[in-house]
Amino acid sequence: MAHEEFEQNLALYAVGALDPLECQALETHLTEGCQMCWSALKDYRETTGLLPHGLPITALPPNLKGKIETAALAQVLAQTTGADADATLRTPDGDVTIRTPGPPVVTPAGDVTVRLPSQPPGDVTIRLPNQPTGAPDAEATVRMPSQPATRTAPPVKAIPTQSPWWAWAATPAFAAASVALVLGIGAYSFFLNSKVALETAQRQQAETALQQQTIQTAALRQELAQAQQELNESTQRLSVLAPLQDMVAQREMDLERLRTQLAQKEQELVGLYKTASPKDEMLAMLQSANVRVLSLAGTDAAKSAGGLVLYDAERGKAFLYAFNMPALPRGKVYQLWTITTKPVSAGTFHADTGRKCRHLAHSLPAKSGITKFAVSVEPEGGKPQPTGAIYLHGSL
Amino acid sequence: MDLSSKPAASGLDPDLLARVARGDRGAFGRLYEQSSTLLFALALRILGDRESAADLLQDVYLEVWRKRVSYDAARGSPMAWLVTMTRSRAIDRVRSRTAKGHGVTDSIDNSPAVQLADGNPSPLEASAGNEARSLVGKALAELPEAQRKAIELAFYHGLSHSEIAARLNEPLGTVKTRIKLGMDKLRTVLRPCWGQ
Repeated sequence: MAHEEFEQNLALYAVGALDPLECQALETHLTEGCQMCWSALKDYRETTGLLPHGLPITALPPNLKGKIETAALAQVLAQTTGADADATLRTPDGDVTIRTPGPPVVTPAGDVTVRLPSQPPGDVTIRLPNQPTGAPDAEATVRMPSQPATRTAPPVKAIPTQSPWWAWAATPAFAAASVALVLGIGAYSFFLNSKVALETAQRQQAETALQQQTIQTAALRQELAQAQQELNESTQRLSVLAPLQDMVAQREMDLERLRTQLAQKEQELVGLYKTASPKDEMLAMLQSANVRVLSLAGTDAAKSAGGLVLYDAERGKAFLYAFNMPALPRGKVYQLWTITTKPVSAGTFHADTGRKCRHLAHSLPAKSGITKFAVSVEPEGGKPQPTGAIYLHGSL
Repeated sequence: MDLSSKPAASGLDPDLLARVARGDRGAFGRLYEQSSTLLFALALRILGDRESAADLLQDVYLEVWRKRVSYDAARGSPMAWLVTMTRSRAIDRVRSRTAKGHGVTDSIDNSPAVQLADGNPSPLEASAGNEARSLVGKALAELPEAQRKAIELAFYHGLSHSEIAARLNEPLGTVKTRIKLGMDKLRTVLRPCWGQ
């Protein structure tokens, strides 16, 4: 396919209207680095990118953003834990780092344990109800670490000597408990998010596999449809051709039959001509004023035989009619001779039925001064000069 | 629901996608704010129900977040890239439904009748994207009906030109020409909106 054809298809490609094979061909062309096509495609994609502005606006689901952000956060935690590295939670209040030598331990009763680097005294256990969604009824039991957990948090401020009644909230114990509580809740959140992320990933993998199978199925279906269509077209063509082939075969048979008939007619015509022509010639010659008639008498070899010759000296034609001719020996023919100073052959012939002979000689030399005619018996094909017995002879 | 903070997404800063790719959750939030309205309208138009559209949008944004798909600024604007990706995923889902025998809902076929808006004038219509909405609406309205229909069948229904030709009982060449002519006109008219 030429570049111009690909260029023509770019608008259809951008709007998603190309067939799979056309898509594949165009993408190959683009992959080969045609900058003109890339540039034009970029324009068309900018155009299709604006098309949704023509749609009616509708309110977004209220919890969609939260769901997406939670799933994204779960993804970060899952990736981080899977790599056995530190997890960083970015919150509006600053980053919180959870050092995780291993994944958190979750007990069947819903306990979540995060092991801190300073364990064993650094264990933090948050006890939660079996139903994670029952937040209002949740109880949290925090086992205080003997050493503060590692975190990137602002340092704890000094406590004044005369503290108000609420000053206990700023004590190191409360700060440590708060840190432990935050870490525990974070760990539990991590557990839930990891579970959600795992299920999401599994679902997406299944969807991806399904989509791929769907695409493959669609491609196969399309190939099947094309093959079926081609088969139908071929069958249709064959069904149209079959009667034509029958007709052609019939016509060929008719033609062959007509040829045979024609050949037969030609043969019949030749036969008719052979029988009719001498008679016609004889009649024509009898009607001519220049024709001379010559009687032929049988010789001793054919005493009962006789005949006559109509001779047209002007046109160089002679018609012989003979009767009571002796039967020809096998391999012999009669031969007519014209004699001026010496015999000249005027053709060979056989006897008709009833021992009668008709022979037309039409290539005699005009005005050649023929004085005699004779008929002899000669071998098949005739001879240049008489060699056999003379049966008839006569003079003008 | 608070829509006032969401400008209609006619354009995005390419750096926003770069920051998202680096794991910046703030940038991720802004990307959602600036693009989700348009993408949700698109997904809803193709899929026909809000639940499926929301589910699709979640997948699209997570794909961007996980960097499963990479954005190349040389190939187009971020918004065009997101629209292309959302449309592609939505069409895949429709085809998946069709393969499962669920088919396409009638409401999708009766374009452009997906009127799921709450009916009140949206604050979005008075926002920065109003110009693009106005221009696109006018450009589509000025297209000959046959050209607009062919483009919508391809873009929103995922039909190829041969499928469109079969559905409309039109010659294949005619359908191709209509789409090409329509797209060329839209490209010319909408050029001022690119990159907004």
